[in-house]
Amino acid sequence: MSEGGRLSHASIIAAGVPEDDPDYSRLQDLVGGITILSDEDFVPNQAPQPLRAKYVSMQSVVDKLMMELYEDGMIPILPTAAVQQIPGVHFSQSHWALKKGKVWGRPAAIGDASAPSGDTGVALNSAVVKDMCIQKWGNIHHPTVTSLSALVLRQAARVGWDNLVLWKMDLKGAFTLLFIRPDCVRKAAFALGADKDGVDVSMMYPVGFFG
Amino acid sequence: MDEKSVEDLRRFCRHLESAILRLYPHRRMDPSAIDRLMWEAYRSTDGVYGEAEALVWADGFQISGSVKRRDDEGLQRTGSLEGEVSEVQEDV
Repeated sequence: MSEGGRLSHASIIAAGVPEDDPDYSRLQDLVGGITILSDEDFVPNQAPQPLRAKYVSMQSVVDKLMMELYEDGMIPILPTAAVQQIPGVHFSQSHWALKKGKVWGRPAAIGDASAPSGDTGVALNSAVVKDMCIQKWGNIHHPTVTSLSALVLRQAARVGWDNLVLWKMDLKGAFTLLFIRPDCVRKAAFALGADKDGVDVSMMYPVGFFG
Repeated sequence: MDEKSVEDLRRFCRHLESAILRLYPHRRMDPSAIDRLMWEAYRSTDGVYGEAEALVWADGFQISGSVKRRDDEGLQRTGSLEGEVSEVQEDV
């Protein structure tokens, strides 16, 4: 990762990823942002869906979380009427979920891109899109507890238990460390409720999001 | 924290204590230190809060009217969503 934890051309080179490694070109491609793939049946809805009951009841919580992203310069918030003027814009629904240990719930709230749009019946995310993503970027194979344990045991055998130190690293706001390509952000609109002026506003995700 | 969770945590503390003793048989160890560590770990990661607590945290928050103006001006200035998003991404 580059300074600030973001992927960059320099950080890929610094990480020593060989140019003939298939991941090299995939990583280079991701520097400019991830492409939001959509299947051939996808039709942008161009208008927000009714706000979910959960969002309505938790609006102050979601909006406060979103303001943190806004103040970090991560998301634009625009009048919904202005967003609807953007050709090809697609709205998905915002909602909220609990998270253990966090009184405010999931840090960046949740944008549900998998719920079909009420008018078009099509969701941005789908099983077809998942397959397209696997085709483009490869599948994710998580290490198992057994394989991680084997790593620890192998290292312990090499250096001895007294010299073994385990480190755990977590990426804070991992989703937000990836950009979305500027020409794809129109597919990542989420209607919020009204602001203090009583004007309906929406947010767009130029960075990755959870949901 | 329900009774089962308390019992599970106590049992896990004892398993951890015996595992450490097997790894470091000659090292002195304070079992209460393990208990404190595990309780703190549980408290910090498994505290379950509900909607009511979240709403208290949000304290009736509403997005200020000035927020939308900043980005709407950006959209007008750059002439396109792509232009505005590129500016946002450059600043991140």
